[in-house]
Amino acid sequence: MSEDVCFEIEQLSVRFSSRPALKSVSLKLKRREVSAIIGPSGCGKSTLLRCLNRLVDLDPEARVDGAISLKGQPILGSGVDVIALRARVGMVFQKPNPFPLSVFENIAYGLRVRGIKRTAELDERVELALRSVGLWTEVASILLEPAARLSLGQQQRLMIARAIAVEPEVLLLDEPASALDPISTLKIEELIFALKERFTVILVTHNMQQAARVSDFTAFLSNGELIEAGDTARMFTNPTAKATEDYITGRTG
Amino acid sequence: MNLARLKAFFNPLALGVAAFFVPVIGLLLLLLVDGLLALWPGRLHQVDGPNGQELVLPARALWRVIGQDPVLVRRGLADVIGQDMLLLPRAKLINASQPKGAVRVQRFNASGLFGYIVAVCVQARCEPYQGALLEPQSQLRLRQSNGELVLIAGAEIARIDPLNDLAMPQRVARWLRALLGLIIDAPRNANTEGGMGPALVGTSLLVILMSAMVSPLGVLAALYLYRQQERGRFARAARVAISNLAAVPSVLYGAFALVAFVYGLGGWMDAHFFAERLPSPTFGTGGLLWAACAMALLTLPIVVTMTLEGLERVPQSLIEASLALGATREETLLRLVLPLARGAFLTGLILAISRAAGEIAPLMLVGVVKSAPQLPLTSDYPYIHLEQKFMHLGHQLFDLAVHSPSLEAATPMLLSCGLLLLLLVLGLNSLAYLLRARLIRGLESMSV
Repeated sequence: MSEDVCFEIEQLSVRFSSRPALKSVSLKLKRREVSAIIGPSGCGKSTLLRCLNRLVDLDPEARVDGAISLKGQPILGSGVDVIALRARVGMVFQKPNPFPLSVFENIAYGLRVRGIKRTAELDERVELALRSVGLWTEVASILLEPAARLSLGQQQRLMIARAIAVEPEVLLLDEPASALDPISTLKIEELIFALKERFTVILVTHNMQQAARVSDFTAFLSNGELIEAGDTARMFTNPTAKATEDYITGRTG
Repeated sequence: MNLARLKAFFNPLALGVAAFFVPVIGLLLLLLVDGLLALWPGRLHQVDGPNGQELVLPARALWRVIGQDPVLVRRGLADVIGQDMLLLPRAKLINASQPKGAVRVQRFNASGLFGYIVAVCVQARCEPYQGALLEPQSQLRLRQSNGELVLIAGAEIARIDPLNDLAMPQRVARWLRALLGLIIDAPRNANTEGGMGPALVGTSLLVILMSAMVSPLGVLAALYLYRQQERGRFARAARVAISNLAAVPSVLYGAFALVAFVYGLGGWMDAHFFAERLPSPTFGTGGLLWAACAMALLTLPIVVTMTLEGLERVPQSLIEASLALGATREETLLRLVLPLARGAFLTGLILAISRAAGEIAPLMLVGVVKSAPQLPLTSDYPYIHLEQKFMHLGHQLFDLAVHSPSLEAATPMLLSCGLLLLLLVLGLNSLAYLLRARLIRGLESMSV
C-alpha cells in the first residue's frame, strides 16, 4: 500500500486566526494518478493544496495541526527542509503569474535557483520543458520576449513548464484553467492527462466536468470537511453522500 | 460662446494644475529669456551723461522691446566714479551714436571698462592693438569716455570685445562663447562675472558622492524594513521615524553634520591621522566629504521610502511563484524582488539628487564657500580632495543675490545661475518621472 501512496494526510486541521479552514481531513493520494479535489468556493481546497508544499506558512495567522507525509516522510513541523520539499512538489496557480521576464528566463529562473549556470544545459532544459507542455513550436521564435505578451492560455502552459522544468515529483494545480477560455482549458486538460505519466498530479478545481474528465481519484470537500473521496468514476456515478450528489448534480454550490 | 468650454476652463482642478504649472513655466521663461539675453554682446552707445560724454551698454538686451523708460545702463567707469549703473532717459539712448573702435575690456578681479584702445605697451615700447589677447607682461592703454587714460595689465584682462565693430555672425559667436563660458569658465570679479565652472563641478561632485553614500544605505534600510514589515514594533517605529525625517528642516541636518561629522568625526581623524598639521584642521573643518554626508542623511528618507514602496509593489503572487519553485526567501529577494524594485530605487535616487542639487542651507554650515580657488578635483593623487571646501550653484545664487557689490552688475550671472540650477533640477525630476512611469507599466503588464 505505502508503495503507491504519494501524500498521506492525517487529521489535518488548519485555522486562520479564529476561522477554521480545514477540519480534521484524512486522505491518501496515490502516485502517478490525477487526484482532483473539488468543492464549493471557500471549502478549503486551496488551503489543502498549499499545505502540501507548505506555502501555507506564508500566512502568519495560519495554524496547521495534524500530519502529512510525502512518500513516508513527514512534511509538517519545523524540522522539515521546506526548500527541499518545494523542490519536490511543484505548483501552478489559478491565475498565470509569469515573472516580468522573458519567456526563456521564466523557465530558467527555477533552474538557476537550483544552481544550473551552464548556458547549454539551461537551453536544453528550457526547450525540454517547453516541449513537454506543447509550447515549444509556439514560442521558439519569441523566447527572449516578455512572457506577458503570450496569451493567457499560453501563459498558463508556460507556468506548467516552469514548474516541471525543475523536475518535481508532484505537481499541484490550483484551478489552473479557471481563468481561461474553453479552447485553452481543453489544452490544459490534455496536458494534465499527459503529465500523469511522469508526475503525480493533484488538481484543485470547481469545474465538475473537468474533474470527471481528467482525474482518476476525486475528493469532495465542503466547509473544510472531507465529505467523500474515491475513484472518480464511482464518485460521479454513484456518490454515497447526499451532499456530494447535490453538489455534483449542481443543486448546491 | 461655448458655456461648457468656459466652465471647463474654470474647473477648480484645472486651476490647481495651472497654479502649479504657470509659476514653473513662467520662472523658466523669465530665466531663459533674461538669462540668455543678458550675455548678448550688444552695442556700446555714446551719450550725454552726467560726466559729459559717456560710453554705456544698455543693461538689458531687451531694452528696446520692453520699452522701459528710463533705461538702466551700465557704464564702464566704475573705477573712476564708483558707480557701475546709471538711469538714462530712453530718448538719449535712441539718439546716441555708436562710435567705431569702442571696446569693452573685461577684467578678472574688477568690473568691465569701456573706452578706446590707444596702444599696447611692453615697458616703453608701444604698438597699435592687433586684436588679440595680450601677453601677461604687456599693458593696455585705454582712453575712457571721460578722457582719462587707464593702464591695464595684460594678466588682468579676461576678454576684449570691440562691441561696435562686430558683424552679426561674430556677435552670435561671441554670445555662444559667453554662454559656454557660463558652464566652463571660472568666476571673475567676485563671482559677478565669468562662469560657474567651479560651482558646477562642486555641485556635481557633491551629488555623486552623496549618491554613492545614500544608495547602499538606502537599499539596505529598505530591505530591512521590507523583511521586518509584519513583525516587530521597532521596524514600525523606524518606518515612522524615516517618514518624519523627511520633514526635518534641512538646516538641522547641517547643524547635526557640523557637530557629529565635522567636529566629532573630523576632529577625531585630525587627532589620529593628521596630527602633524594641527592646529590647522584637515578634516576637522567643513569640506566636500562632510557636505556629502549631510546630504546623504538628508536624502536618505527619500531613497528608503521610494525603494520600500518598490519592494512592496512586487505582487505576492510572484513571490509565491518563486518560493513554490524551491527558492529561499533570500534568493527570492535577491533574484526577483530587488531587481523589480530597481526602477523605484532609481526614482528615489534621482529625486534625492535633485533635492541635493538645490539644497544649500545645510551646506553653508559644512563646507560650501563663496570662492574656492582650487577645485576639489585635480590631476594629481588622490585626484579628489574630500577635505577641501568647494563651490555650489545654489550657494553662488544666494551669494550673488545677497552679497554682490552691485546687484545690477551681477544680474546676468544671477539669472544664468538660476537657469542652470533650475534646468538641472527639472531635468533630473523629469527623468525620475519617466523611470517611474516605465516601472508602473512593467508591473501592470506582469500581473495580467
